[in-house]
Amino acid sequence: MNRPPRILRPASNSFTSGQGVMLGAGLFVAALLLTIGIGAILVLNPTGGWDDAVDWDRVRYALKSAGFQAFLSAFCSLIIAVPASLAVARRAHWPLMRPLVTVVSLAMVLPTTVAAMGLLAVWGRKGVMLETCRSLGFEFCGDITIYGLHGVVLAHMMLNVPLMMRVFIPLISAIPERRYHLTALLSLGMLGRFRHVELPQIKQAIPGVLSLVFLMCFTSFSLVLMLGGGPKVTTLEVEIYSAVRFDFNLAAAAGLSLIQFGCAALVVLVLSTKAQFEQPAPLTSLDKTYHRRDLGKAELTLDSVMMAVMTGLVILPMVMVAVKGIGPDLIKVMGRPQFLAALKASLSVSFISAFIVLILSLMMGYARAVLTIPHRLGQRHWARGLVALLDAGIMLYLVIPSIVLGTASFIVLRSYGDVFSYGVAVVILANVLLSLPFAVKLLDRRMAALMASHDRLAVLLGVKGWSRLRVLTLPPLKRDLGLVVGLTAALSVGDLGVIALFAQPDFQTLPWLLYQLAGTYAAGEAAGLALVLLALTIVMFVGARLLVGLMITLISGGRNA
Amino acid sequence: MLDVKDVRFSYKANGEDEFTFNLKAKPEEILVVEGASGAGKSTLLHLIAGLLIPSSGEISFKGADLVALSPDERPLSMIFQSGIFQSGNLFDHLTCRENVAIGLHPHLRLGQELWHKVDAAMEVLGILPLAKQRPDETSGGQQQRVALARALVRAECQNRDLLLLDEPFSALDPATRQDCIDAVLSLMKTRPMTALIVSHDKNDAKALGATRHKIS
Repeated sequence: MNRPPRILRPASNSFTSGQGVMLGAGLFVAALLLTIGIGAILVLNPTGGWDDAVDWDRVRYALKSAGFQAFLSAFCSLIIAVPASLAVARRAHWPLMRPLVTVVSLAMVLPTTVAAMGLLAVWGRKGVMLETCRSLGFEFCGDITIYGLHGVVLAHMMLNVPLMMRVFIPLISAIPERRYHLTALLSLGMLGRFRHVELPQIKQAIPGVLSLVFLMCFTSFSLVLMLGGGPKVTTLEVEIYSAVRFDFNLAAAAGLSLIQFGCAALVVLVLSTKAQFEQPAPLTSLDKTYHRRDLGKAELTLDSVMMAVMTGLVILPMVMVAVKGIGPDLIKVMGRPQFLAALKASLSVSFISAFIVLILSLMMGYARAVLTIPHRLGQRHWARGLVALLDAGIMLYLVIPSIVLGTASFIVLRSYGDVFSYGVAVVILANVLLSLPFAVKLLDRRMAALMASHDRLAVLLGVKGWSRLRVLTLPPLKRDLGLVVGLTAALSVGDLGVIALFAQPDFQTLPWLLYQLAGTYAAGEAAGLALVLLALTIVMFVGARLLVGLMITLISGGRNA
Repeated sequence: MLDVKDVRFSYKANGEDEFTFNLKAKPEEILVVEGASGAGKSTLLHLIAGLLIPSSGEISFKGADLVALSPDERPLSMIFQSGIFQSGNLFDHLTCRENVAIGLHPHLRLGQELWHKVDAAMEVLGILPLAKQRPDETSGGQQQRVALARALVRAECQNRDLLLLDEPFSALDPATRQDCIDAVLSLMKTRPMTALIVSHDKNDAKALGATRHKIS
């Protein structure tokens, strides 16, 4: 057979200067990220010795509490996510399914503060559930409280069940129809089908999502702060926060951050040997219609129950945020002088972070594609080392929680004048670094595939440099870039992490303002602000995607992907 | 005329398993390149197109040396072997009309006159009704015709009169195969070019009225 041409080296320009600059820039950014990350870890050296700085009993307790909480959260999320994904995948034609899927995919970018407000609106002392119970005459319900371990776990489930579903549903949808026919013919039943058809399909993804969710809950901050209900339920992140904000004990904060980094690294290291971090995929695969003859009454019952559970767990809290938010207090909170300042800060942080992530992920995605494709540089042995450098620069931030980064910045910047005046820059830096791993992961495979299929033809037709970028590269990436920017913008607008360290009267963001209000007696205003933040998140998520799409259409001269 | 003289090439760095190619084609001649698997038929086309660089030898077309030119400077069009990656010859996100036009200008900035030429070429190959469609909305045979229309406008507007076809028919069913042979013939009737066609099937040479060239 004909061999595929392994070396694609056009006679005069094996590498145009533009491509060289892109590759160099991508590698430079990776090196910079690595330097910042390692620098941050090195800075966190508790002065005056470990034993003076860190209260080991407290650390041991925090680790135990966080570990148990994260285990419970991840496990409960999995138990709900698997049957819920099966239900969504096989009942795509149910009338309420579309809105449900939309809301579920929104839950991925839901700010933690808003999620907490939603849970309070449902299960809180004045929430719909307990109000309903009381009005039915069950007085003892008055004693039930959402604050505590179960509240934190419930909130984590609300955010992470949708994440898991986005991984599982495409896998389940990829099962060929023939297997279901076989199930019906062999009368395997619900459990038989699960064991022999569905489980094998999702099995390889389970360790990955489980470890990802465990890690996220283990390093959880704002939900534990808002729903933990006191010092009993805690994580190292919360401990770091109180060391900086309340005790102003930077030595302790540094020590705790280092321990936190070590734990996160250990979790990733242990689990990454067995698991791959699965990328949540868009749910387009639901458009397929099956003729299923293997579904009976048992499935109908289970699926209905799962829909009800999903409604109660995810949709009801979001709806309640809207219901409770509308009222005179909504106007009142928007009239607060801090509101406008916080809105401005949140929007600028979000826009700038999203823009930087867009540029960096394009450069790094491009560099990674060039270095891995065989007919470009993939066959050179030095390319493998550079890919490792790129990956290390990106993936390092999976194990550096944002508050660890914040603490390190705090310690470094202290020697350069007023720490708080750098607040905006540090918050943006944290948002960018924490969004990059998923952004590059989302892009690099697509870019590599694109490059592999376009290269020969583009070289033959002389489409290169800027014209290649605008005519051939950007239009097909429109959706992916839109998703990258939308996710970054939405997550940045609602993030309550580093801001907790750097907030002060003249620099605060909307999530921080919400956290402050929720802690006071201004419950109505907090509810109003939660609604504003929810709306803003949706606007950023959808708006940023549209904006990117529009920009690319303009740049490419009206061509759509 | 096309003249490939003592062109040597090896995929291996140490120069083992070297290919040597010699081939001549008259102007407006259709040459079907035959040869056993691994004889280097596809390699030969990639060398002429400039996608691979020979270690030594000369390649000239109409008296001009090609080796020093980059692929896009060479006066030729190439259609890649289609198979699993159907779209190797077309860009999926561009319409069929844009896929033809990109052969004339990388930014697709064509004057009125050139757009007319694009439409005329599509007319010749019977795909004008598909102008606004994207490749994945068309059949494999229609996609081949779009790629051929691009080669036709490149020949007519830019005098790129050398056509390289790398197994254009091998992945097609019999009916589509005949359809594509007809397409190549109507292309040749509109604009006689020098064509090199890699093929396994002896009947193709006969159907195309082509000279057979065996390489080993």
